[in-house]
Amino acid sequence: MFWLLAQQTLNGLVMGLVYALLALGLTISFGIGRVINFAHGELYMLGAFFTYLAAGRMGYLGGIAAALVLMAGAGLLLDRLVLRPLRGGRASLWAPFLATLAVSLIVQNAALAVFGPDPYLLSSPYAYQPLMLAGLMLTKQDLLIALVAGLTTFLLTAFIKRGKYGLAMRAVARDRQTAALMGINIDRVYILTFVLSAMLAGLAGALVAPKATVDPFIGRMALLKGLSVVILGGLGNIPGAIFGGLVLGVAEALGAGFVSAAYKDAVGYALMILVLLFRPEGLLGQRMRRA
Amino acid sequence: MRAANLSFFAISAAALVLPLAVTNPYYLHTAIAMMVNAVLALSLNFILGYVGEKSLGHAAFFGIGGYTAALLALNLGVPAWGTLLAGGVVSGLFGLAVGFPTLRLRGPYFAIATLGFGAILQLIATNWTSLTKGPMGIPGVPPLAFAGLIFRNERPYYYVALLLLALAAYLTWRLAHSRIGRAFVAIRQNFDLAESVGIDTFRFKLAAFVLGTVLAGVVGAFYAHYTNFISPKALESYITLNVVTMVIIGGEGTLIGPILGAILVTLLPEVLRVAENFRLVIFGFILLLTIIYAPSGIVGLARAAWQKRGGERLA
Repeated sequence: MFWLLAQQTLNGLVMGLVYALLALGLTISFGIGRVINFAHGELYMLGAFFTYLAAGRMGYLGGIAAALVLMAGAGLLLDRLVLRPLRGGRASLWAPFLATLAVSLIVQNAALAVFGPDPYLLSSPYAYQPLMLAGLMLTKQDLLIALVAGLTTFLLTAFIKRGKYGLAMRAVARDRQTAALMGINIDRVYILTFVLSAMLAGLAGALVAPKATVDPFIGRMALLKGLSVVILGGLGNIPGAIFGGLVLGVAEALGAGFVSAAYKDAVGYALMILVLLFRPEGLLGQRMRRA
Repeated sequence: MRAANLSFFAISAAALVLPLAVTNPYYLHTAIAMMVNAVLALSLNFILGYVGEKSLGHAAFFGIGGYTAALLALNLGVPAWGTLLAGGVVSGLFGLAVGFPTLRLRGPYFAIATLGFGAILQLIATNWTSLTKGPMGIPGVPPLAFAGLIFRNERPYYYVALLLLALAAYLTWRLAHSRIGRAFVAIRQNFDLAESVGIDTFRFKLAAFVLGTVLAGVVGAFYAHYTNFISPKALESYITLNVVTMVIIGGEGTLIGPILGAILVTLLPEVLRVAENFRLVIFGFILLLTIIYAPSGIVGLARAAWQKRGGERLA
């Protein structure tokens, strides 16, 4: 009993770090870019497919590196072609949101036309190498996920907190007009935000793929997981996204281990709805004024 | 607006006699699908178009109506028309439960919550096999019947669908021209101002949402009877996307927009058969271009063209 609990918690923490990556990307696009990115799941899916395609020549790790470069391009295209034309004027949250919904439709079905509906296996040299850690089992892939996701999360948080562009991002998040008046090139901040966001989603996809399979539809679930985490932690809240990711990862793993594996995915939504009911500002958010 | 009235009567008359002229079941089926979509689009339009809150779980309410009808008819022997009503009521109750906590919050919470709700319901419909028979769905939903006559072909269903569409259009029209409808639009256009003049925004939003979900439930129940079948596929997010697309392409917050959108979205896949694999990609591009270049949809484009030609300003 204790070992199952400990093992599931460990598994949950590993997945939780991936959820944190997903949610970080979503939360910066919302907090800074003012977009609920409905295509975030498709970015995750693209990251997995790009890694799969590149891994054939460059190996798994090289594939991830190549995929990240491509993802930066995808983020740039998303911002320039889709989101920029909708900025300015009457700043509505909905037009960009609906536009990303269309992007999701396009990317998902283009992937379906190119790759077909059948799942692909992305093999990682680390996937089947078990490690024992004080009686608990972990694959090398899990360790890799934990290291890369943990490090990325740490670096991103440090960058946003201390970096020059990080400061600019926070300024734009708070008040984009004042930020522009203070001489911040907000256009560049938006590009940076969506490039980072796409790379985070792609990295999450590339890291998880060897633990599961890759098909054109994996983005849907990824989006829902990411959104649940973002709600758990509080919209636009960066520490909240990390914390929420870990909470969801552990809750799901415990739910699968002790309740029912079929409803594992429902755990996230149930948590999300509870948070919406009782603490809509998120677990780590400031108290919110009710409308 | 004489011309508008005239064309309205012409279209209604054409819709009434169409099944007498057209006997090809494929065409009739397409017409029924079109009308079902139009009712769904109008039902979503209450909350998405008039109030401006983005509901992203609309397929779930369509599915709830379908499952309610199927289960009541098969397990309890509830007669067909009662199931339509029950489908609407149950769906509306779910709408109330989802809307009550989330419509109070400003921001995208409602959109995200409805999205999550749709996903949960699909999981339940797929996994609660003892109730829903799981992913295979429930076959053998009895056909509708009227005065002892069982509906065996498309024609009677066509008229029921037309009746539902007329009902949805009438509700929309009545609403748009009432105090409530003006309150809806006020909420969409300027939330703070609406509140400051004493509009109880929360209650109006909730009312619009529940009304829409009731309608979606009724049409879901109708569709389950018509196809004699319901499965978790009815709850898929792609159906929600379809309905959202109809409302946006046609023109949100109008009466004719969602209907035009439904016609387009139903016909386009049939026309695009040639490009089978890229059908939905093309669809996505149409949606994207609409959002960027014609945010008020076809209706908005038509209005702009009308005014450019020096026509009177339309409301």
